[in-house]
Amino acid sequence: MASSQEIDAFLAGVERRAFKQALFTIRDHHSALDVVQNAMLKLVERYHDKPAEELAPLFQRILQNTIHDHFRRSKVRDFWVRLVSPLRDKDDENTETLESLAAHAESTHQPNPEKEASANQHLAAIEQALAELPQRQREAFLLRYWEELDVAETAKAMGCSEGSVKTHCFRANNALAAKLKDRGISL
Amino acid sequence: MTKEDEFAHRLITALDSSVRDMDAATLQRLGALRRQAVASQHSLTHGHQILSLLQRHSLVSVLLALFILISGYWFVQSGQPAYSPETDILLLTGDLPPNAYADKTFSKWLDARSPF
Repeated sequence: MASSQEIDAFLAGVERRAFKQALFTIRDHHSALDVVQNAMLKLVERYHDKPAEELAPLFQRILQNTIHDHFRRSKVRDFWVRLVSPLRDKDDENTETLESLAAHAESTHQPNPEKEASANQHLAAIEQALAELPQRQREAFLLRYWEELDVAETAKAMGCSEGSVKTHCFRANNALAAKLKDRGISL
Repeated sequence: MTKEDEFAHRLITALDSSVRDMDAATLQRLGALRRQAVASQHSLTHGHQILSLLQRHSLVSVLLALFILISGYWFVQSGQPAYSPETDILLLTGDLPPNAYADKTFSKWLDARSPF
């Protein structure tokens, strides 16, 4: 059974990459943080009695499932919003409070101009290319190479066969290479 | 290492640098979320200890459940007045003496309170 210190150390080691993974997929700063929080809580709640060495694949599986759940909930919410939106008063649509504008600006996580100026263009292009990948390809690529899970562990985390993992990784690599080449970036 | 793996590792090296340079606000928030999650483990652990003990010792849990049931039944039964069939017979046949129905204490109390 993993101790509190072991769980804390494990989460401290993966939290940044987990956040980035969620951000690549969700593309919203606050939602990505929510997803990481849910994944952390689920890991502690359900698997705190597991040995420390089993935490990595379990956490990755939870994280992927939490991201999928987020999309599922978003779809349902969007459906109801679209259904109800014609019933709304048109005046309401055009009224935006200062708070809502501030919240929107915060949620879209616009970097400030200074940061933007000093940002590494290559890195931005890589992140953009990753974000543009199909979800399963991105998952496979990040789990396999960034989280350094082996093919079997990646397959388990993604809930698919090992063959599918290899295919997704191969396609992800090709797609990334093509996208970066189009942007004039060679690694 | 294949050519494909080499390319992936160069990409990952670049991604690692982006993770290292993450902004302070996000890092603080992530740290707070982590501490919150780990703290929730403590509250879970105490509850789970009792549950896991009961799961491991199923005989103990069955005996504990039986004990609770029997003591509950005994508690409910002990609260009721003892049933006497003789009282029923005497009531039905009307053989009780009249003073059996009289509330002597009430008469005394009434006499003591009455101003007349």
